[in-house]
Amino acid sequence: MKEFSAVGKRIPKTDAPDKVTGRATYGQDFKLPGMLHGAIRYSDHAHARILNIDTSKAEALEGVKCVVTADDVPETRFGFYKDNMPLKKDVVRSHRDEIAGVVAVNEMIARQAVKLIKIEYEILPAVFNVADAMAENAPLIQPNRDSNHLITNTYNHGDVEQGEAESDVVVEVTCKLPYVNHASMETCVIVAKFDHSQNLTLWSTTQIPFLLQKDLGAALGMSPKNIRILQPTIGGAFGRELDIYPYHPIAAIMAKKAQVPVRLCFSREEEFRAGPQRQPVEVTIRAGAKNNGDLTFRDVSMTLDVGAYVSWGSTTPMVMMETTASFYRVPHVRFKADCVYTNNLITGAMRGYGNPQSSFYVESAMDMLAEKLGMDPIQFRIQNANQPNTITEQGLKITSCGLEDCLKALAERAETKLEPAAQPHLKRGRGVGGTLNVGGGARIYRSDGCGATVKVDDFGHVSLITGSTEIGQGSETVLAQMVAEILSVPVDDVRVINSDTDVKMWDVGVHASRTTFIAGNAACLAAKEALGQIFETASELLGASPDSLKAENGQIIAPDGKSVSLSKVVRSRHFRSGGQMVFGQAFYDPPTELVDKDSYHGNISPAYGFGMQMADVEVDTETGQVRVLKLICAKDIGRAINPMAVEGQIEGGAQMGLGYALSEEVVIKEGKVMNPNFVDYRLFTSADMPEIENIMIESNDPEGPFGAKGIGEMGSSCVAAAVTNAIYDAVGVRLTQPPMTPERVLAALDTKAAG
Amino acid sequence: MRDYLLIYVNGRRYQVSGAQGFQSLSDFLRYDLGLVGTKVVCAEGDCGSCTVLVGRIGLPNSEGDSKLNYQSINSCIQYLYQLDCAHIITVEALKNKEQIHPIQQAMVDAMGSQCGYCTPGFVMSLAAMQEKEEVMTRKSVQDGLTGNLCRCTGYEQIIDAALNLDAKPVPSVTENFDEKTILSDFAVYLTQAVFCEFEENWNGVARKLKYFVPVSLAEAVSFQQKNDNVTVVAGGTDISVQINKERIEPDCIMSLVHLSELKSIFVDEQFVTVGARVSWSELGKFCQKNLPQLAEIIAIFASPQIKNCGTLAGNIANASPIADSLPFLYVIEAEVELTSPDGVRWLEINQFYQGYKKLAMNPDELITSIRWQMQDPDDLLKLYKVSKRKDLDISTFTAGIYIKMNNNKIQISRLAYGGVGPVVLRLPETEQFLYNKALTLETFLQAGKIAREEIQPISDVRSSADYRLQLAENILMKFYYECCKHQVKKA
Repeated sequence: MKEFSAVGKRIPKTDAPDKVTGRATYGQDFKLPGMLHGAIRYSDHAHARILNIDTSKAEALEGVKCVVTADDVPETRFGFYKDNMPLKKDVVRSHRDEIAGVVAVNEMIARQAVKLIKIEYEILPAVFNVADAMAENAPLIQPNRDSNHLITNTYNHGDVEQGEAESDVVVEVTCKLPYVNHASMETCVIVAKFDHSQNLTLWSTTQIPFLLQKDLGAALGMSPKNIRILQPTIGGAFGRELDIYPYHPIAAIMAKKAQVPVRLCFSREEEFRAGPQRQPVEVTIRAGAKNNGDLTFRDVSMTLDVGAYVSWGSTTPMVMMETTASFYRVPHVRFKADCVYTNNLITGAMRGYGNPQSSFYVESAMDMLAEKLGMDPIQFRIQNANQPNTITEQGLKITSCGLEDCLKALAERAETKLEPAAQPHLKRGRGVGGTLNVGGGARIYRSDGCGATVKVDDFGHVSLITGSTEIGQGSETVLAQMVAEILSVPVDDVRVINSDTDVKMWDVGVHASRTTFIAGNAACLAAKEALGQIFETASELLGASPDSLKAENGQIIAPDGKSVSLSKVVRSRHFRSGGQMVFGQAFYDPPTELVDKDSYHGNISPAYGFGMQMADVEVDTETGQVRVLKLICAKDIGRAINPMAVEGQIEGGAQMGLGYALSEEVVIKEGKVMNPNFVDYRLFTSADMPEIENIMIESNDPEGPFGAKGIGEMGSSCVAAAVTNAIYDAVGVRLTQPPMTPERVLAALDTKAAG
Repeated sequence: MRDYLLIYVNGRRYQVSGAQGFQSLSDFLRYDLGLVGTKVVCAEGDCGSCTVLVGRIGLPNSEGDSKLNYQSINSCIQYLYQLDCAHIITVEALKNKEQIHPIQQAMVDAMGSQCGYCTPGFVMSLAAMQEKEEVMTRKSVQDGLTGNLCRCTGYEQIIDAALNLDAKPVPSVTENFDEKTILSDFAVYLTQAVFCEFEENWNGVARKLKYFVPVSLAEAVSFQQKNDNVTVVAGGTDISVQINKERIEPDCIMSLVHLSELKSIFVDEQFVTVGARVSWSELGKFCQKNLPQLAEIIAIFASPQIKNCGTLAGNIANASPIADSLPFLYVIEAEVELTSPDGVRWLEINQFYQGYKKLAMNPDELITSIRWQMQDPDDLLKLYKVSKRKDLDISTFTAGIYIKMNNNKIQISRLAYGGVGPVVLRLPETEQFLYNKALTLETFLQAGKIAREEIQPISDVRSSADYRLQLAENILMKFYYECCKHQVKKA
């Protein structure tokens, strides 16, 4: 195999020096001359009619510039189902509903002022769970719909009844997956500014600058072509900003009325209250296998509470159906998901996007089957593992596939048996869980593409202008590595420009583990085009054919050993009569398709990633506390462009997955968040983390850039599944409701003891 | 007496007075000084993104020289009135001459930063560990970073960065500053109390505010007597959170930061006496040698940043029924020293709380120290804290269990549970039952059932009542497995 100079190297992140010295400028550090500060007034009730809004006291407060309400904007609707509006006028449908906003000289005064807005309500009956929302005569949440039932997604292949009839063992389990929050360190922040010609510029922590442009146009009743979005350094996102949320247009409405730039910055409490959460799911899976260990069928039905307005949470069934239908080989599958409006929180995209949920129930059922069959859980999975170059019943074209290698790696580690704990009330166990993730985007929008420009200047400096977005994951570094590899320049010579919709070409957004793959392919194509131009000019200078040239360390070298520097080639091409610059441009849209809207069959991703994790746990049977002793993560990543960055994604995913498994839950009571802070919403700390071992399986994907596949999400997806299976192994109780808190574990132990 | 605070930030001198002194350090850094490398993420001391170093004059060494001792703090919950005569070092000033500091370089090299928002906080926490010359092991780094949340890295690469450091000598952060000047400046000003009174006019309403930073206990006691509604701030780790979250709006603050007479731990034949200004870090260090059971709990109950500021006295005054120290104090029957202009009195902790956050102390009294009797090393003492997360987590349930044996029989037992009522509770019936029993599984099985009957916990966001009842029972089994089984074998 060719030895690479930049790809595959453990290179520090290019933005790290600014981050460790406190120089990186985030949205929250950002100031414009004359900028004022906004704050939002939310609803006091889960469901109510607004009778009157009295803003007089807020307007009179010293330091307040203006107050905005729905009266300040034309009535617009946005969101997939056009069910949301920036400021609510007649009815509020949840505690997160925005009613008014205040612009003031500082945030403190703005926040004081919103409290002074007096709102009279007529309280309406509300529903806080799916059953109540679906009951006959339930209060209707969205008035232009017939019921609170939003949509049913159904999927079938084979014949589940036949599959069950052929089964020697059948298991069934019902799981309840919680709300969790992204808990990015930086909260949502936006700065909006209008120029004299009514062009809007936004500085935003968004993950979807181009879609936001479009959606904001709809929300504000203006043309997207007058909206420019800039992205400062973003302090984490994890799917939080994959959609438009009302605060985006509200900031613009404020800036328009105040006629100065306005910044809107969420407090931590607002992040929990008004931001999206991971989609909660109540799901029952029935699954079967033959005595020889072959899987026979899966039958899954679930309900999803999507809150009062639809965001990406409602589309997580598409991902869960993929795991259900295509993770391991199952001949007969039926899947049904009902999404329902309630007066609860809104649900959005979050790292893994349905996979943590589906991995949990699928892998719980896999362990239950293995136990009934008396088979080793890893061998059972190996027997049913997906294989390379196969097409699943659903139509996923699995090309590279390292699932079996991941499982074999874990089997090898599992040969070392767990040491028993020292004391009788501490029990140890081991469990595995896996995940099938899209490995190179997911076509959920008409285009899954990304544009890139690579230009080389007269000094040999390379700019990659990419449509993609950096949210901390290290995309700037891995993209620079790929471009540097192709042009054979040092990585330091490549600067990545990615923060301005007026400069960069379109990209659908940073999600679905797609940036390395999609933006990487686009960058490689653009770099190759630039290299072609370089070779073209260099061939004149060196008197050798372009095909015979090679690039190395910033030099272009001919077969006879003669060489010329890259910068000299560029200048030679530039400074001549009819001169040209070196620049390559590409738009890469992967060879995928939207799923069929009825059957949900179709190949949505150009590659699929597979991951398995094995957790060793210790359960305190007196308190129910669970300690994870070790987590082994085996991941099929295609190829590691930067192994250190891959490890960072897996380990960071592990922290999020462990929280999902054991400590994190957004607790709601009648639609209101009861723990909107880091005191009561518990993220894992360094001391809670187990030892992690990373095993990277490089399956060398045929379509991926340098063979790479995405890894951004997989790390978090299967942790909870591995942990619940490990708890079962330790104490013989099956936990079906994460987070598996000490309380839930102890209650399960007590139920078991009571027989 | 002066009417301004003296604060150094990154070697520069600032005199701060009036309303400026009534703000958090993080606001002062970010908004007044433009030092935005310090981030605010939670505004309640949970995430550590706002971590900075604070240097204060320590006790003189044998040659009579003093130096500044640096430790990490959460700048979002330290208000400027707590920082008189302190030198603050932020991430912007952490460098090695004009080069990037080795800690920062290690973070770069190990990819310890992804989105980077928490990174300055981690860098400063590692700098604090270096200043204290802590040996970097995986365990010490994990524990040393419990006050810093990261959502991107899973901490592994940050831990790697720290472990890579150990081999290389790291220059002290102080080398970039003229410490002598700062020290001599502080030496002069530390003898003067600060009193600042000002009027805030906003929206047509005038509000009088004042803060007082006494340099002697006598001054403090007298101020407390002469003023109504004094909010006494020791470490401020709770009060500042309440201010940030707008739960309280104090207008008269007394900061005890300079009361050096309350900063010691005395041990004599009878008592261990802990001054009200002794920080958890200092007490933790003391306990490691002298009271390992308490050290165990101190190690996990809060982050280094919190422990560097918070105090045992503050924990007692805050009066949370879930305060981690209280079960210990209850079973060891500690006494609280209350000082007023009339003198001093000692009150046994079991008599100190009259109801939820209701203290048996007068408005003119200050908690000045806490003492307890030295324990017989053969006595059994175990403290428990049950929470979702290992560290820095509000407990669901706490317990203290103390047992003195005589002739293989329980002679004295004291049990205290927290999180099961409005105050920490002793369990007299269970204690009575245990009297004269042997340390057997059966004893503790039965004791658990009695303990369960003695409490009526409530359900809240952290736990249900049922779980707390179950823990009340099970914790005695856990105690048996962890402490007694071993004991019986030994006998």
